[in-house]
Amino acid sequence: MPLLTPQTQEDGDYSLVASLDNVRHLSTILKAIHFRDHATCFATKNGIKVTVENAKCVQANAFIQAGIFQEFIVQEESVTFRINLTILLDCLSIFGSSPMPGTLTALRMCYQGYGYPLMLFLEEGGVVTVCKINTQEPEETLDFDFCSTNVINKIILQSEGLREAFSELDMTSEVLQITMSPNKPYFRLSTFGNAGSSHLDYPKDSDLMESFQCNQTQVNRYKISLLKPSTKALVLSCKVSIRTDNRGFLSLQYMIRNEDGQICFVEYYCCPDEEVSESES
Amino acid sequence: MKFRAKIVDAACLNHFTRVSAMIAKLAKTCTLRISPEKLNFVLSDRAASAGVSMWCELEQENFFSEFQMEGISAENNAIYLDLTAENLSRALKTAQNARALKIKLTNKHFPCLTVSIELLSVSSSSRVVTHDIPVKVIPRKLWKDLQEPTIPDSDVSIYLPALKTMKSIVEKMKNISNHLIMEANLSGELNLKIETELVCVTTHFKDLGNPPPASEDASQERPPEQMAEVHIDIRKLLQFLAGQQVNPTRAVCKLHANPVPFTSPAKVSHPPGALTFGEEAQVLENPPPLASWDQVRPESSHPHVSGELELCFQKMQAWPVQPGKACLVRQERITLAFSLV
Repeated sequence: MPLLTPQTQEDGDYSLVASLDNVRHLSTILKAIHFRDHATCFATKNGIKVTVENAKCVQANAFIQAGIFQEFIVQEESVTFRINLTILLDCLSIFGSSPMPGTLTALRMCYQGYGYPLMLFLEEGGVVTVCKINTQEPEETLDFDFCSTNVINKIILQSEGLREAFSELDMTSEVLQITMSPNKPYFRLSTFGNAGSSHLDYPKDSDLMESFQCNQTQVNRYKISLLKPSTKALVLSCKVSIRTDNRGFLSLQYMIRNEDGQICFVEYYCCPDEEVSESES
Repeated sequence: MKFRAKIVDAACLNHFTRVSAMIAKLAKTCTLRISPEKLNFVLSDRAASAGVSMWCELEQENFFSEFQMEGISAENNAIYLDLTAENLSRALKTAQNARALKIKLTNKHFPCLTVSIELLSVSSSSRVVTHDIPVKVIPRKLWKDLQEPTIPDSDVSIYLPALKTMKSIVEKMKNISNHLIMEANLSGELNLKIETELVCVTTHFKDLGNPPPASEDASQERPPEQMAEVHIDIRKLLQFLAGQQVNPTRAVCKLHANPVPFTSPAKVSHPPGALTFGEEAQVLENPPPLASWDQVRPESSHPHVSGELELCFQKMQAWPVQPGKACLVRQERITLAFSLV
C-alpha cells in the first residue's frame, strides 16, 4: 500500500530525503540526460548525481547540488540506486510539463535504502500524487578517467553558438569531426554525409567564444549518434565548455541556469571513434 | 422523410461546431438521430469502436431558429442517418463567423446532408458555401440498436476536478500503463491509480464534493469513506478528456460498484462495476439534479466486459435566443459508455 501521508513516517527511517518547492528544477535537468531508459543515482551530502550511459562509449552526468533543494538529508555516506529514468520523469511531470504560471508543483522524495522503492510525493493545488518507483541493483558506471591535467584543448562557448550547429547536424554522417587548434581553423565541426561534407568554423575572436585555450592541433571523430543526445542539454544551457584530453576523449560541460537563477551542471563524456587512429596510422 | 433546419445565432453556430468537432475526435463514424425535439449523435457499435458508445443529445430549439422534420412515419417520427463525423465537423468549421447555416436532407444520386453556409461579405452580395455530406439512411428495423443506454443508480457520484488537470495526469499515466484504476467515495475523494511492475502512481483528489443523491434510498447507506473502484482503459478515457471541447464548469462522475444485472452473469469473472461521468456547465443558480442521464446499458455479448464506464457530458447555459424571450436554458448531453477492463 502506498503511504498516503508522508508525515506519518519519521525522516530518520529514510536514507535519503529531499524536498523541492518547484519540481521543474529537478525534472528539467534530468530531461537533459534522458537518452536511455535507465539511470544510476548517487546521493551524498553535497547533492545528487544522476548518470546515464550508452554503448560503453558515452556517459552523461547531471549534478543537482544539495542547495537546490529546500531540504536535503542523506543519512549514509552515499546512497546509490538504479532507476527507470523514463518513469521517473513521467512521475515528476505528472501535473503537466508546462504548468500554468503561478502554480508550482512541490516534491518530496524519500528513499529508505537498498531494496526499497523510491517514493515521490508531489503536490499541486492541494492535489497529491504518490509515486512508488521500484529501484534496481546499481550497476558499475564507466570511469572515463578524464583528468583536467591531461586536457590539451579547452574552449568555452556561449551555448547559442553551438545550438544551431547541433540541431542541424547532418545525421547521414556517421561521425562528427571536431578540430581544435591554436591556428586556423581554430575550432571546426565537420560532417561527412551522403550529400557531401560540411565544415563549420568558429573564429577564435568570435563574440560567442568566452575562452579559447588550445595548445595543440587535435582532430578527433565521434559517433554522431552518441553526441546527438547532448543537444537536449545544449538547448537548456547558457554556456558550454568543450575539452579534449591527450587520448582524444571529449568532455562537454553544460552550465544550466534554472528559473530561480540557480546553476546546475550537466556533463557528457564521449570516446573518440577508433577509425581515426586506424586511418592515421 | 424530410429534414431542414437553420441556425442564425453566431453563438449557437459556434457551439454546434464545437460539439461536432468533439464528436469527430471521439468517433470516426456516428449515427445522427433527428426527432422533432432533439438531435442525437449516437455511437453504438462497441466492437468497431473498441468498447466505447456515445449518446449525445441536443435540444433542437436551443440551436435552430427554424427546424422542420418529418420522420419515416407518424408513429415513428424520427430519422436515423449514418455519417462520417469528420465530414460534418469539417463542413461546420467553415461556418465560423458565418451569417447563417442551413442543414437539409437531400437526395443527389445518393442521400446527402447538405450544409449551406451563408458567409459574411463586405459587399451586399452574399456568398454561400455548400457541403454535401454523404449519409446512409438507417432502416427502421435497426433502430433498436441505437436507443439511449440505461443504468441503475450509482453507488458513488462525485464532482470531477478540473478536466485540464485530470487530462494532464491521465496523459502521463498513459505513458506508464494501459489500465487506470479509479476510486471514489462519498466524502469527496477521488483517486486515479496505476500499478505496474515498476511503479505505482496514485493521484489523490479530495474535497471534490458529492452531488446530492438522485434517489433517497440505497446509495446513502454506504459508509462515506468506502471507495468504489473501477478499472478502465486509459487511452479511451484520455480520448474523451483530450477531445472534450465544450469546457464545462463542472463535471460529475458516477461509479457503479455492483449495478448491472447481467444477462449472462456466468461469463463474468470479476465483480461487475461501472462508472459514469457527467459534466455540467452551470450558469444557473440551482440546476436540476443530474438524475436522468446516469444510465449504463448492460453489455453481455463481449466476453471480457466486467462492467462499464460511462461518461456523461452535460452543459447548460442561460442563453438569449429570441427577442421577447429573455433567456433559455440550453442543455446538451453527451454520454459515453466504456467497457471496463
